Amino acid sequence: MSSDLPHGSSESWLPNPKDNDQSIFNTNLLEALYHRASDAYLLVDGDGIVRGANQSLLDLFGYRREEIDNFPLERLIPVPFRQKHADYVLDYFKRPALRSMGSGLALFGLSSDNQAIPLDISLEPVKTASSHLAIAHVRDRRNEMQQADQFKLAEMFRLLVEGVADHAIVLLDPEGRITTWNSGAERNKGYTADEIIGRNFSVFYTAEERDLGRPQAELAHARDQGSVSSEGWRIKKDGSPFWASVSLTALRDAGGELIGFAKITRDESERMEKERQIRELNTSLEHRVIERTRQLLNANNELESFAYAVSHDLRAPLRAILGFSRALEEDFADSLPEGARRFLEEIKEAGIRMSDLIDGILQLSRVTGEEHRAEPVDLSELAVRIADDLSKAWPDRAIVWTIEPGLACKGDRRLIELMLRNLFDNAVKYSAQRHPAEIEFFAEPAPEGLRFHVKDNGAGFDMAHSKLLFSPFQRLHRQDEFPGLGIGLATVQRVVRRHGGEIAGFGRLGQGADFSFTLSGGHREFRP
Amino acid sequence: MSLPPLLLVEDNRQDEMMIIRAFKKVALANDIVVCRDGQQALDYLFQPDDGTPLPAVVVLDIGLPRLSGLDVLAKIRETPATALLPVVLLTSSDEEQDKLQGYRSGANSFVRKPVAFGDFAETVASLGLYWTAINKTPSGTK
Repeated sequence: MSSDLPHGSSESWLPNPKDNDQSIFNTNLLEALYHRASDAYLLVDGDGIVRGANQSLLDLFGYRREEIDNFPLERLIPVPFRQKHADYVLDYFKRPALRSMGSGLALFGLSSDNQAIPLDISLEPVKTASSHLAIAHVRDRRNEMQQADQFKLAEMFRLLVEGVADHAIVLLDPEGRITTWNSGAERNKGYTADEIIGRNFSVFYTAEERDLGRPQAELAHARDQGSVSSEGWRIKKDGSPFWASVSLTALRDAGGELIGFAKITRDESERMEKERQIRELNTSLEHRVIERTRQLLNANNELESFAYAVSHDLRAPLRAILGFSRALEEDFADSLPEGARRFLEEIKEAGIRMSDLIDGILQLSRVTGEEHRAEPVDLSELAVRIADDLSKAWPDRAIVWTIEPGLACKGDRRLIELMLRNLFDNAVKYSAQRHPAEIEFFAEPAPEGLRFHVKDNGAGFDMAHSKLLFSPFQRLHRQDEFPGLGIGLATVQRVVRRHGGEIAGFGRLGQGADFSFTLSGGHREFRP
Repeated sequence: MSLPPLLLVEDNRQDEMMIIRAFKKVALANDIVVCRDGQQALDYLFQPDDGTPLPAVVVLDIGLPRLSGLDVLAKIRETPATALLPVVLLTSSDEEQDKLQGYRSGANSFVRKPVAFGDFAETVASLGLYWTAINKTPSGTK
């Protein structure tokens, strides 16, 4: 633009308002150029005072002509640049020279409404008869900057899109032909940009869908609705299908004219596969649970029928042993020597013990196998009753019972009673040497709920063997010390577990035992 | 006229001996006919008319091989000629389900084979006496 100006003969055409010398406008054309030029011009003297401006400059800075004449130039410069500019002006007038546009300086002007305007300025010294002036050709760079920004933005956007590796982001022209191709698209679909740009996006659809006109239908839908999202099978370059989630958005120019489509495709095959695996896993888990449950039920049933068979089949020979022992005793008592009678007693005793063991096995299998109810159980009342029974069963024993009132739980009354009876039985049995035996039943709060205790001052046990306590047929005492089957605590533990609780035994040799257990729904009842 | 016999259906030979001993001990006068399984019992009860009288009472073990005691009981009850025959079921356990099914099938009484047969002798004997001496059932010849 500066080259359009006839600055080569500047001396003869520049106005000098100070000198009021109009001779420099030697043609109307020049004057018209100066005043009507779309570029802005400004005349400045060596003191930094504005000596003239054309209409474009007035428009650019937002001043009226009478405002700007004799205006200090610094008023047209944003504050931060003023000092530097003043020095620059002084400098310039010491060694005036042509300085053309685009010399790399980022220059700014200040408009009347205090807006900074990016400018490009070329200067040319002008010498008149009376003074040194400089003519500044001022060009507004705002549009140019904006365009540069937009270009930069577009470039950044392009790089961004290009870099998205897990989404195919593709632009289509209004007919559906591919115009751009990013790395995600290449990765997803296997085509390079060279192979695919210019081809119609319908190549990604299956043949059936192409026959049905699905690609065109989607374009039409996006055109009408603005955008369309869909999922479906798409085809890669190598012919393999993948599950795609696609969004198609119509692009329009400022005038609303359709210029194409943006298409974002995500390969969801992996997600689909994972979902399928999760579904499969869930299904197989379900099957396994069903299968295990069935096996458990079978095992349980087998156990029950085993216990049933045991109770029947083991009893028959036992009956014979005991029955014939007795018959022998009754029918041949007179002819049996003393020693033979004693052997017979031993046979009978062993038989009765075996019979008790069979009963124990049956009892254990019933606790584990049977359905059980959940009804409110008054534990304290039950405890009092059992204690009463036991005191009566041992009339020669001195037993002091301490039973906390108001203890209750929810469960199968029959099983709970069986459990409590076993614990109390033990307490009575193992405190046989104490006079009196002291047996307590009480509860105390614990993190897992109310903890019930059955505590005695009896023989106790060595904690080193405590893990054997609840195993069936395991005993911590000799038969001749404390007779027993080793079924009681095993039964107790099974009942407690079936009621969502757990049991622990604490003891010391000669210092008594304390069995404590929790029960789901164990609580204290507060009676008014 | 001799007394009608008592029919004992029991597959366990030792139990059979114990039971017969118990009956003998209480001096039961009736003959005791023993069948070793369910089919034998049915054959005895339902054989073509041979002039033998119906038993006074059937003492029937539940746990018989093949045809169980309950099967035999059902057959006895569904046949008009034997429908009213007194039947005592014997079992070696006191499983509720056995008892319940026994009574449902129409047993008149239910006796658990005890571990020692001492008391059993009296129980069975009194049952025998009850059904043979005290209780008059519509018995006759087949």
